[in-house]
Amino acid sequence: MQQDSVVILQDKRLAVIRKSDASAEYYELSPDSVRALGKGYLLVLPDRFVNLVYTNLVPLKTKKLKEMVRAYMKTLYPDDVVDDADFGYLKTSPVIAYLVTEETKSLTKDYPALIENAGITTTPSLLALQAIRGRFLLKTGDTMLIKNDEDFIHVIGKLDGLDTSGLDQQIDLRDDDYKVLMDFIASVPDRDALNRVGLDLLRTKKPQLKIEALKTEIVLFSVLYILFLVSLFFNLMPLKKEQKTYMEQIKGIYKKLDIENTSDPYGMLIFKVERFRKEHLQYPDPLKILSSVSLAFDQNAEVESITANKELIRIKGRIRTLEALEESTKRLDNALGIRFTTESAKVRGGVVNFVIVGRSR
Amino acid sequence: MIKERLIILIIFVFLLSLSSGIYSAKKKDLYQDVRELKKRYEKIADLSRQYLALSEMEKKKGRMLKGGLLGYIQKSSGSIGISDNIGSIKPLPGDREAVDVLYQKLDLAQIISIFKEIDGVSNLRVRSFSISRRFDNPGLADLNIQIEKIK
Repeated sequence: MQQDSVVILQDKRLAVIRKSDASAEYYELSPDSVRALGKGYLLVLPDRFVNLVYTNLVPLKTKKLKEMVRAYMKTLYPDDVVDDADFGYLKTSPVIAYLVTEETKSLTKDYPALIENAGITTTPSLLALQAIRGRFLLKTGDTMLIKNDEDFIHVIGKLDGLDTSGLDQQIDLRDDDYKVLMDFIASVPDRDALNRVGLDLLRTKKPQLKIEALKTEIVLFSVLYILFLVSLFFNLMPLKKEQKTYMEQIKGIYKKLDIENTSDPYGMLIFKVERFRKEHLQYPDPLKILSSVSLAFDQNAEVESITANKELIRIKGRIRTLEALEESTKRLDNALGIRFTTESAKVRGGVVNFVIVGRSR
Repeated sequence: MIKERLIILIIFVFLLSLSSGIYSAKKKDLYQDVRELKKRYEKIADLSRQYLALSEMEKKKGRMLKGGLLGYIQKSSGSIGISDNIGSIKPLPGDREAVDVLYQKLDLAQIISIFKEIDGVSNLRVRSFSISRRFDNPGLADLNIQIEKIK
């Protein structure tokens, strides 16, 4: 469908008119017929779909305009009617407000593409307001628009006893009379003027995600995501198991040593070991020293004295050679776990007089 | 529909990235925790082994000396048969009860008997000792020993 097409909604029927030859084709309103319309057409809704309200507001370029229109509408209608989903406004001069009827809501819900794909969506009264100068009355099957010099009244229904003597013209627009509408459209001065009477019906109804239609994708991605999370969880399992094992083993040690119920079992363990060390290891062990000395020095050596305390062990004696002394010292190092050094070694008459010292610290 | 699909895909990718990020941080922390726990466990196990070995050592010693050190020296020397070898015995000053004993003219077996006797008492420690061979008889030695009662 070309941009120069006009689509008129007539109850459950679509009249498609090409501006070029003004010929009309009719289609039943259905998703298929809506799809076949393409994009960019001028959609004319039945006049009863929106109730127009004249305001004396100047179309300021400010965000406050909406609130100004809302406040204006609240002076005319109950609060619950003036809801974001129920009203809108056109930046005409002065501003035209409008109330969306239930029929329009049903249409946007059932055939959103019809509105979405339209370049401009408007109504006969709005077109007439842009196209006709002077005072006039526009009657459709369900509505009346009375335009005076400045303001207008738009009524859904009939006004009985209306005095039409002061009006310049009276137009009866039948539902199937698209030619009058085409004249209105042709009389609108320019595209901007047409744009100004374009209703923004989908603005009042935020587009909703088509959850139902995307159920499969959502389920698929959810399953994939859950599998991913499960795989991550299982990936952490070996580490968690290892952590648990160590914790249990530590707990087992604390239990074995009967320190598990202390406030700081680790500190208590260190304290106990240190205390034991002080009580046992800092003192010389005479039996161990004597046995180590007897093993380290063979028959060729004579030990004259052994002195031991917490800090050192001193051994004085005689041995045949320096090599033998070195070997004996090494053996003593290994047996006692202390590094012995030679304090003195004097060779006299083929015998070595020595003093070796091992320090525990 | 494409827009919606794209949104779902973006949410999915975002959730994957977020979960991966959280997972990586968690794994890193856990890995660090396990490493520290392992080190701690090894340290605790080592300390525990030392503790058990030391307590075993103490248990083996068996009896405790409840009386005074001077009496003990006299009694134990008598039982070994070296009462006459005591050259001098004097208490040492300090927080803990301690004595300095000089034994003279002991043979190696007697020296070992003295050390074994002390080793068999759980609350006695040899603070220091000195064994010096005698010049007048190389088969004998003098033993100067300091003994401490620890509790």
